[in-house]
Amino acid sequence: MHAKLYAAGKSVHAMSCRGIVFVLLLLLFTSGYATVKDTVVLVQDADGKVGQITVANKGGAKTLTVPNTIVEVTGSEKSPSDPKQIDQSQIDVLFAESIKARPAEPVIFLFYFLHNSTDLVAESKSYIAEVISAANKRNFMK
Amino acid sequence: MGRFLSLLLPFVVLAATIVSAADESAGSLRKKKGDVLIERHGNILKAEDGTSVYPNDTVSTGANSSVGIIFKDNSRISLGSNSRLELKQFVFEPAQRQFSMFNKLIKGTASFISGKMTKLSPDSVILETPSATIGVRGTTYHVMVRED
Repeated sequence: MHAKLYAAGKSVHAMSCRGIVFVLLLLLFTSGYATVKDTVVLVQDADGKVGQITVANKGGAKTLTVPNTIVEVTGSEKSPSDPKQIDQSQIDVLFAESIKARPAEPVIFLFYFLHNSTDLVAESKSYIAEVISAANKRNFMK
Repeated sequence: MGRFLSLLLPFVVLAATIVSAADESAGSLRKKKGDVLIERHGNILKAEDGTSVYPNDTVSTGANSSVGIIFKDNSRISLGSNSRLELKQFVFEPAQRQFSMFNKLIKGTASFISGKMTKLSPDSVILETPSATIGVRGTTYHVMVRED
């Protein structure tokens, strides 16, 4: 009986030691990584073009020119990280809400009037139905 | 006295220009979902689709909420939930070659689609976070800012 209790105590002691070692290793591993404060991702425009963004602070500056690349910032005096690739699926998850809330791209209609008149030229008159249709599609006239 | 007035005149005109720029809306809201508020001159206003936003406004979203802003140069910024965006400055006067779009994302997520301003004056479009400044040259990007 005494031997069994001793064995059980030894086992519990070994488990708690392993737990402490695990926590210490975890702290050691994570202490080298500062918390990411900002994440900035460059993506392709709707027309397929890609521009560029520069992320800068007191620690330095990094420029992104390749779509689906990411820069992380851990502090205002620490240089932004080097750009690295990120999967489209990750972008879609991280920014799902703000992507969904994007206002639709504006549509521009140009109207021309007859000289010295408030009458529209024939071509411009035909745009009116298009304007109303576009406005209705966007629930703009509700 | 006449000389004093002539010296004063440029400052009066400048002050009037600044006031009129601040009075003009920078754009308006679209796709509002959930709780979206605008802080303006110390007052808190409930936002709706079509609500105008002005320089010095702060737009904030609650949990499970989001909103889009379309600016007068067709730039678009949309915010995810629990976000806070300060609209610091917006000047879009192509005829006078005056351009400035300066916003600050305090927290949350934002997606930015550039408009005419970045084409006409790329250095005039800046988004700031508490840790960095983002300069744009005609493009689309996303930002996430975590609170301390």
